[in-house]
Amino acid sequence: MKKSRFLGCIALVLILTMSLVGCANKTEAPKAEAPAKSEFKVGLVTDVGGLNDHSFNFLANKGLEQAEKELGIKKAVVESKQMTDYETNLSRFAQDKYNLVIAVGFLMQDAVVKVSKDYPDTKFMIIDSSITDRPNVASAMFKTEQCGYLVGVMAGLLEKTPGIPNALGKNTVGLVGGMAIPPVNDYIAGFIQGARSVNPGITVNLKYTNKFDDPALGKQTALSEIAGGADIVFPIAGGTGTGVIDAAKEKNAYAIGVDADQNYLAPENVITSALKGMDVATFNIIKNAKEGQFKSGDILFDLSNNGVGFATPTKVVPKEVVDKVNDAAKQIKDGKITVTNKMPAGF
Amino acid sequence: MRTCLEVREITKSFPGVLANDHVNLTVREGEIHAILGENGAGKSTLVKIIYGLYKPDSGSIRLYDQELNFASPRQAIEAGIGMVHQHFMLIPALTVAENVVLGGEPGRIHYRRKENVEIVRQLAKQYHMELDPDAKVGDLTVGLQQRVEILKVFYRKAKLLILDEPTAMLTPQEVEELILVMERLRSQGVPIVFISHKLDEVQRISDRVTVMRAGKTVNTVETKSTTPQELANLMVGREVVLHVSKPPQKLGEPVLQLEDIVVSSGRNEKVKKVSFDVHRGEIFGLAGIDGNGQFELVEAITGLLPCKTGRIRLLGKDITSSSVQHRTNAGIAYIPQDRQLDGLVMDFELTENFVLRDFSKAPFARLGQMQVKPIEEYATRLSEDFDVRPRRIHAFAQNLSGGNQQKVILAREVSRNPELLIAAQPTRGLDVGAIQFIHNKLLELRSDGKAILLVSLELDEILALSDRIGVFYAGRLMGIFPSGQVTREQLGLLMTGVDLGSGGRL
Amino acid sequence: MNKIIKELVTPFVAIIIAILIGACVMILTGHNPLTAYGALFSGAFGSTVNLSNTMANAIPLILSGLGVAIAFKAGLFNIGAEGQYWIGSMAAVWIGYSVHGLPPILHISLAVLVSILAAGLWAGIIPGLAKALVGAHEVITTMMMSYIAIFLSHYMLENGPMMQPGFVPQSPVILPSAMLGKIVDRTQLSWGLVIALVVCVIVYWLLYKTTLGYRLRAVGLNSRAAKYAGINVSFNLVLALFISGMLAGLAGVVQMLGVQHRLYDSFSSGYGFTAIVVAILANNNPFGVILASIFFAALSTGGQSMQLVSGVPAHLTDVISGIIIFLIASKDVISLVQKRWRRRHSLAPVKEA
Repeated sequence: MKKSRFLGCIALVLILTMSLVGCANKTEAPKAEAPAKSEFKVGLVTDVGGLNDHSFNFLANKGLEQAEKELGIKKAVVESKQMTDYETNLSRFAQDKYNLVIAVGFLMQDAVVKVSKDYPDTKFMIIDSSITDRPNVASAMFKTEQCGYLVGVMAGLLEKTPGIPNALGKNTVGLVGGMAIPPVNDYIAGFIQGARSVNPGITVNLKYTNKFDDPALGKQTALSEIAGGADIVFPIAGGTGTGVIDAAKEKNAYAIGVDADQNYLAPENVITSALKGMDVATFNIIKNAKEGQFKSGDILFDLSNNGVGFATPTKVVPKEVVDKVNDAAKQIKDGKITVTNKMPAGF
Repeated sequence: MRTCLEVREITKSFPGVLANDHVNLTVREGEIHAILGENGAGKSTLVKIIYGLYKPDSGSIRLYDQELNFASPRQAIEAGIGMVHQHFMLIPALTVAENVVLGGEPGRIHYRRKENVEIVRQLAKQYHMELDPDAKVGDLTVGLQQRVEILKVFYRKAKLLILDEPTAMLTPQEVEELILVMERLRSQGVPIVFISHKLDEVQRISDRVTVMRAGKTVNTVETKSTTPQELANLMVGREVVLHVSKPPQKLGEPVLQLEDIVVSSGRNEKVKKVSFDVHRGEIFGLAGIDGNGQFELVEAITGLLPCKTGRIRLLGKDITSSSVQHRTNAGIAYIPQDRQLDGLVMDFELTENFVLRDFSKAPFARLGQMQVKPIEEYATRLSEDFDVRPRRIHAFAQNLSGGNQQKVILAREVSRNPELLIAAQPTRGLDVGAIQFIHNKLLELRSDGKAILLVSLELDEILALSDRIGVFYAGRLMGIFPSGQVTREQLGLLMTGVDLGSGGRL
Repeated sequence: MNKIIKELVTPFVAIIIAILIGACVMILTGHNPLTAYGALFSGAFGSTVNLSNTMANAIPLILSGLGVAIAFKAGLFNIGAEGQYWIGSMAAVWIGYSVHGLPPILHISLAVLVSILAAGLWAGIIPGLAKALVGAHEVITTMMMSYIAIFLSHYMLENGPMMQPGFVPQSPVILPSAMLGKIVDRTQLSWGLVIALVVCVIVYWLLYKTTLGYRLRAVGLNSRAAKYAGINVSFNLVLALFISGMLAGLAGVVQMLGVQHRLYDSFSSGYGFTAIVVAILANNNPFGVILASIFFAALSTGGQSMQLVSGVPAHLTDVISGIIIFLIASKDVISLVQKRWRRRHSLAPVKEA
């Protein structure tokens, strides 16, 4: 009896720790007073990742903050704690007569489908998930194969350029994908097309971790790629990717960030990042909605509307290379180069 | 003789209970002063007030010339009051010396072990207590552990020793040794207060005795000038019959037959080839020192432990491998030695405890559903028949006194009209009134032609009730004797494994 | 009556202290606790919609809390309610989308039946038998089985047999015939609430009015006395874990059929762990479980609105529940303080030795 009581206590302490860990890492949400009636009100619901995920939620909130500053909208943010909160939080905003409600991430697709039907007068925006059959839902979709192409061009050129410090000279790059699913493979397809367009002989080493939340596995995968001769690694694997960048740092290799500018993770090693402009998309859709230009269905974001792009490269990348990448970007915008999201043969 | 402790007009009430009602007590230097009373008379409350565990509502306490008003036991200890609780407060994994000094170790930060051992050795010598300071407390017998407790008290320079029910856990031999220790302490002038509800002990050991009843001090008398009968009357408040009068026996057919029973518990063989019969109309007493296998034998008969070999027969039918339930239904009733651990579910109401054996049978249950009405009626009837107090059938078992808890078990087991009643230590820790009640019930059953197997550590109980006496030692039966053909002393020797030869054996 | 009040004291004190500490945290971080708690309260109970969502959140807590409580009553600490919840959810969703052509009543019944059996066996077979036969401690075994269940769901959903075509790790949506109807439109409140309340009454009846409940409680309170009474202790331990698992599994079923309608890939639903807290706060009383569940559900629902209105992070509610767990877990400390205070004030009832 004593023993089971003791174990019971341990178990309780564990539960306590779990619930406390839940609140680590969370910053407080921006203040929002109850807005006056004439104002344009925008509510943002994060997924369970929370605002400090350095990715989707963070960037969407950045766009929202920009809209608050520049467009004078009233904003409010709610962090969802569990999956079942999505629906509740979305409908809470709708119920409170918010003009536009933003749902971050494809995990909220079901909730948006449901709530948008319940509240046909409220406009909704969802990031990264295509909902086309609702007149009040806009889906922000990104042509990430384009930014993948550009960083691919950069990597391909760097492999050919002599005199890059710490280069291994094996003309090999390493890719770490989270899972073979469209949001990941779009980047990869673009990257390979871009790299091969300037460096047909380049070896692209691609591995999938099948996990988005395992940095240790990411590091291990990247280390094996670096050992195989890759001196540039490109993770498209969510949280697993931080391990990849870690590996680059440890082995003095180079890494390319993804989604957001990840240079801060390893300023010496992350030479650029393929950007997915969720902040831009959020801002644009708010702006359109406020100006009465709300469009439902897929809203595409690509190079032409700054929906995707690449972060300013570090000093390691020679100016000629940057110029060539910019040139490729211009050609894509002009339609002279078409990037598909189809994986090339052999991958 | 100087007065050591003087308690004046102490009153202490708890919600619904006046535990101490203007209690007076005077303890003189160099005397052994017994506080005698039934369970619930307020003895424990009184000593807890003296020891600073409770704060009295009114009244005063003086130790020599010092007015005492303790906020905690620590202050009581500092003032020179030492108490040995009924349940020891020792750490089994530590040595005797370490336990004695615990909380007041010699040395400051650095613990000086050698010095410690020496201090304890001297202390033991001074009070004539044989103890090895380096022995582990967990390895000691209960009697020796009690000495460690007493040494602890004197290490803290006690001027007054309080012993709360000191003999409750001891074997007869250990009681003798304790009495020796107490007499030596008296000769050194240490006043001792000891609490008891056992008349014979009080009669033997104490110089004066204060009798408590229902929260009041009834009287303080010189032990020499009184008799056990007088004390018992004072204690209970009415005339009590101290001696069991046993009607003549009407012996019948054997009810329980044991053949070469072997029982293992853990790795050891606890019962080694035991055979005997218990007949209708007979109380078969099983005597022995605790831990000699008698309780394992009982558990084997009731089905709680498996028999390794041998055969158990009840009314001629083999029940060796039957389930507990089957044996219960076949007519075995059992009063376990530990009523709180085995006999009752302490967090169950009395109603639920009364039907512990038959809860799933009609009329108490129908189609798997408990029937409240019949259960309540049954509980009410049993409470009345066996005088269980308080008469609240929805009270929890844990809120009853030990005597009343035992009555609940007795009521439950006897009312099933069993063929065989096994009573293991049925009066352990009970007061005179309750003991009398239970002894009478056992004799009633005997007259009704039931078979009774009585297992007790109290020789007096065995001698008073049994028709035949079996002595258990080291898992074996040393012999079976008709009562009256064996003396107390002979039994005592047999219990320690001394074979008396074939004389007197049946 | 007195008994009820006595049972309510500890949880009530714990909740008050936790709320006060929460208020201190708010003041220290520059928020007005009155506004925040006001928002929390109105966010949880302030409108039909809010109240409905709170009740909807309470349903899985009630059911899994009952599961944990019944195990506690039998003296077992079923820490693996989370895993049993997942097993129940998986089975329910699977029946929900793969069995076609049944009328709703049959479809739902089938899903419920299969799922609670699966969850019950999950708890009963390995942890139950291991406890009964070799004495393996159920805290360890149920916890480990819980991980197995969660990883099993990862396997099923991440490119496994239950993943819906596409790339999102989630199951297909269950068929409409398997969905529980809504009590209040535009909210998550389904008829699962009625299921939860009925089950609560059944659990109460089972525990206190049947021989089965008598056996379970006897085993839980004093297994030696139970053995003495002729009760098969091992069998009842297995049975208790089985029933406990069924209830936790039912929580999953009701959540799937009533709210989520499909299984998502996630590390934890959180219900299984909160259920333990619910049971402890409720002191294992079935009706107390309802109250405690509503309390924690209100913290969760109201917390979002508190964040919205006052800017206090919703995760502060985690702090509050954490403190409550801590205080309830250290109930002995509270009662010690009470005892000391009472002894000094001469109020304590005393047991004579």
